[in-house]
Amino acid sequence: MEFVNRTEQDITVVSIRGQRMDAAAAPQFKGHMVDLIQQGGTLFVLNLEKVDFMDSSGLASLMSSMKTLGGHGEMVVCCLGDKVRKLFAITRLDRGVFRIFDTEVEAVTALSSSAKPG
Amino acid sequence: MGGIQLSIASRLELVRLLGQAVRGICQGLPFSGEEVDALELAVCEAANNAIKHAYKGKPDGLVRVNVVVNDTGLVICVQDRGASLEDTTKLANDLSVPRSVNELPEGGMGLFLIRKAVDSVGYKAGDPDNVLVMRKAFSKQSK
Repeated sequence: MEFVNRTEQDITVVSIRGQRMDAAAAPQFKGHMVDLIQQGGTLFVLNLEKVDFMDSSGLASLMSSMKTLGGHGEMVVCCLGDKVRKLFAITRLDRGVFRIFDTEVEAVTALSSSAKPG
Repeated sequence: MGGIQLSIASRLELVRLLGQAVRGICQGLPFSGEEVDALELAVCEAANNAIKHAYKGKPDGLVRVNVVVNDTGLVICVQDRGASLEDTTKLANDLSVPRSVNELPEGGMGLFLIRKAVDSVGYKAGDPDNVLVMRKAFSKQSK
C-alpha cells in the first residue's frame, strides 16, 4: 500500500493509493499514521478515492489512528466509493465519528474552518 | 461434502484471493451487486478471523472455504484447525453507536459484518475443524 502526503496550511492530506484497505494492509496504514502524528500532525484528511475494498481491519486502523490523536486533532475522510461509504453506514461510523466529505476540497475547507481559533 | 472448494495458507495477504473467488462465483448467481459485495466481505472477514484468532497469525495453517450452491441459495463454510471461538455470543453481538473516540470498538466488527451480509450464521467448534457456516438465499428471480 502506498500513500501520498501533502500539507495544506496545517492540514495533512493523506491519499491512499492501494485499492484494498484490508487486514493485510491495515498495519502499514496504522504505522504510517502513527509516524505522521508523532511528527506533530493533528489535522488529517484521508482521501479514500482509490480504495475499492475495505474490511473491518481497515476500519479498525482508521479508528486506531483516531485514538492515537487522542482528541488533540481531527481526522476526516473524503471521496468514498459506494462500497466504502456503505461500510461506514453499516458500522454507524458515519454518525458523528468520522466526518465524511464528497471532495478533498470540501474536506480541507471544513477542517481548516473548524481549526481556526476563536 | 460437495461444492466448490478453495483453500489458502493462513496468511492475511492471501485472503483477497478467497474473496475474489467467491465474488466470481456469486456474480454468476441471482444476487444483487450489493449482495455480492457483502458476500465477498463476509468471506474475507471469516478468513481473517480464522488467521488472526484461530491460528493466532501463524502462517502454517490452512483456511478452507467450501461453497455449495443449491436451488434456493448459497451455503459457504469457512474452516480452520486452530483455536476455537470460545465466546459464541459474539456471533450475535450488535454494534453500539459510538459517541466518542473512546467508545470506538476495538474489534468484533468482522462478525457483525458477516451477520449483516447473510441470512444466518452458524459455528461448530473443533473435532477437528472449526466451521463457520453462512447461508444466503437468492434474492433475484433465477433466469
